[in-house]
Amino acid sequence: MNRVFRLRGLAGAGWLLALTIAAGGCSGKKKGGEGSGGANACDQPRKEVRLAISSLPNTLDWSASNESSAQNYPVILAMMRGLTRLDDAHQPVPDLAETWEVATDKDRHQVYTFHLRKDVVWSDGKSPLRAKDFVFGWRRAIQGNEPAEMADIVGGDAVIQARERKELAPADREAAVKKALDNFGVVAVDDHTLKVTLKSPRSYFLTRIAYVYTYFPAPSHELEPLEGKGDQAIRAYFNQPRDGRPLVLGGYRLETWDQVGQKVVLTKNPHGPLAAEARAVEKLELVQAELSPLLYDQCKVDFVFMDDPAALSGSMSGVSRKPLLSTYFLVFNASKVAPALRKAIAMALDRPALMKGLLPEVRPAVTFLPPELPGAIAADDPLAASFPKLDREAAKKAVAEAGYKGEPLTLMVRAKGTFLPEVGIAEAVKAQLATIGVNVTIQPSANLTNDIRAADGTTRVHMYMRRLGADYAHPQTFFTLFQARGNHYSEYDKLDGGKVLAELEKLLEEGAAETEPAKMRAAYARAQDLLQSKQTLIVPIFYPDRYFRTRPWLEGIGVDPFNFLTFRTMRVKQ
Amino acid sequence: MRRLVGRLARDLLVIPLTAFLVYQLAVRLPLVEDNDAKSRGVADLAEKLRARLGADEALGFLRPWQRLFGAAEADGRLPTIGENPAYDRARLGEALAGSLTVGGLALGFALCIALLFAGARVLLGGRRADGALELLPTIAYALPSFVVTVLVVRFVEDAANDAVAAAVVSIGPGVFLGAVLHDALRLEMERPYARVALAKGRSRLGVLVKHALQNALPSLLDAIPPVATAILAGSFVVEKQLLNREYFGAIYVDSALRGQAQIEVMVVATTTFAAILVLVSLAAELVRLLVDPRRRSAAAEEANS
Repeated sequence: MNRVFRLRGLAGAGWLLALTIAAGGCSGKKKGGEGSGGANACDQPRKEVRLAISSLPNTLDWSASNESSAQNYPVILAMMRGLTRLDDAHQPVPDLAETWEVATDKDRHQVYTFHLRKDVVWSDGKSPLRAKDFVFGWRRAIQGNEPAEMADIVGGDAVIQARERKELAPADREAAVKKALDNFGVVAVDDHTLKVTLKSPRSYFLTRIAYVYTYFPAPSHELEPLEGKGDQAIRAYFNQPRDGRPLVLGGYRLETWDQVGQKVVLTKNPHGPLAAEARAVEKLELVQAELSPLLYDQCKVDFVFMDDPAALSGSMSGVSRKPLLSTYFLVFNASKVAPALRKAIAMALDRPALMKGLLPEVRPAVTFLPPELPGAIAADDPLAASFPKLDREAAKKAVAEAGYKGEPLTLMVRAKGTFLPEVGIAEAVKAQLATIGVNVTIQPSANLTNDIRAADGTTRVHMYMRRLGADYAHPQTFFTLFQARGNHYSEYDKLDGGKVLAELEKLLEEGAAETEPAKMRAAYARAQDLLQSKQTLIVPIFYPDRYFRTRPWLEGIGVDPFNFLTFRTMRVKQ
Repeated sequence: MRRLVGRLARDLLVIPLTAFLVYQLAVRLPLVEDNDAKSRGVADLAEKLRARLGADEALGFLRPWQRLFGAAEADGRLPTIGENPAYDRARLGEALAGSLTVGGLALGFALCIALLFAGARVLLGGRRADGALELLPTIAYALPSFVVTVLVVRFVEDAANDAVAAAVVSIGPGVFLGAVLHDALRLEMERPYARVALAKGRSRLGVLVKHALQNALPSLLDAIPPVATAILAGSFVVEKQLLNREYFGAIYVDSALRGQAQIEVMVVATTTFAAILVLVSLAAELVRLLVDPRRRSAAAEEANS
């Protein structure tokens, strides 16, 4: 018996010793400040860089894309460019297009005429960029996996409808799609003039084409001969690089994509915007890696996201912070939580106190749209005066008015696949709501998309929390979630027989069609007011930031406002 | 021999059955990935995934193998199965060879550790040093390979090589095999034939090597198949999580983490490892047939009858 105890004790001691040393190995720095590669290997500027990311692309065919497209953006944005790009204030400025004109035709369609730069060549160094490269790419995009991105273009809806005609045989459906494409509103007027006709004015169009990669051009002179071999041959062109293909226009081209080892290698495009840049990084490898902070300490990678709250609670030396165009908020299930109770909860949450100790720095949210977003309003704007603010006494009264009897409200949060301490935030929400007598049961979920819906399509829980990030720098991107086909899980579309949804759609249409900035801002402020105040369907909590570490000798690498790793202008510091 | 052939036939049946069951299990999981999509696309994600996996097709379970064995086109590009390219077989072969190298080296190291550990304990029997060695299994079992790897990558300059990975993986299984072998050797050394040999003046080492070891080997061989499983599982973790080797273990861990997005790799990798374990088990049986005196005589009797 004694021997058994002795052995168990030794086993425990062994574990303790190992974990103590291992923890030291994970969190602490080594002698000389860096990992096993030695201080020099880390600090020595190099033109070959290795980056660790959590997910590698699922396709690099930027026109056809994939339903889960977020993981493709870092690589595609380094390889390609759009007609416009965003400046530091997130406003669209010329990129591949030198200038453009906007007009309205007799059918009240909005017509953009883009004049392309004449000095841009594809990465083979000889093929010039032509307007038909956009036509080819955009026609493929409306037939790809993210056709909704192109739905604003005249004729886009008809193509999407033709694709959905399941009653037709595949060959007939293909013929119907081809016919619909004849009226698709993207035309190459000449080699350097592109005409795009939108169904109606869209104030977000110029900002959207800067970033949404399905709007990037495709090398039509290389792809047209492959069309006869089917779409699979074109996919192979993009996804199986060889002989300098696929041709690109950005700073980097695709060298190899090891789909087995999950590694992408990019090299500097000798004919791209970085060609003359002597300090540009020549080669970079993107690897999918777990435990990447350890690899960073070992000098095996030169960039790493810092998403572990425990790591962020220590020293922030060498850690960079990037504010995102993003909001973390609470969403009510309108079918299960009474309006007065929703209002009470919105007034009971003290945002700064809620986040205390969870993250190094917090930007508490009053408005749904981040104030840095063009077209958004600041918290102290008169248009935001009616948005619910902290008032516990009023909240207690509202709870009493709601006839709430103390039954627990379920709150679902993501417990996996998130870079935010969501369960910690939920615990704080629960504690604060307890002070106004509202009981909350937290339901952490590893697969929120699945778990939140019951078999009949209704939402299982009373409330849930999520992060919403901008896809492009415009208010419209935040409201997509609450539109008719949106994944809002709030059941607000059933309110008033659908009148609330219709009211929101009307306000969004007004904002999208408005070209005057002040009027556009007012329309989106009213849309926020509807969601935050009139119906109190959402409660903004904070605007998330992203943390990362990179080598001090690198610049131009980091996270963009859309939460994508960005390295399109990466270079070695002088 | 008849028993061996029967076992081989049974195990060979298990391999395709494993592939089929893994596929069926994977496609029956909820076919939706958790994502932040703001709105529903044209086709439901689950519906597209089911189509890609061939979930509703009679021969859909062959889809993973099509992706693995798709022949390259004339231009050298790989064919597309669903929306994804087939796997590059040369690259998969490299990855598998890498994993087998690590696994093979680890098994070799584990056997060396076992022989040294068991031999040392028998030769040092009763002395203070043996008491110290007695603690080794406790410490080794308490230190899983990922903990050892964290220590190794912290202190070894170039930890990311096959021999280091194999050494890390082999420690626990090696000591376990050593403990098994030590028990068997100790029993053999107490048998009359060993006592007589020692009484005649033979050295302990001589008796151990020439007589006891041969009779103790069957116990060691019995323990090798489950240990091979532990070595493979350990090498997955070590390859992928800590040493970042892009071998088959890494691919397997990745595919499991990515769920249905990598169902083809899950099926193929599970089946391949099942096949490897069957082969290890078969090899152990064959070696037993060669070295175990009782099996040899039984096989001879079987042949004569």
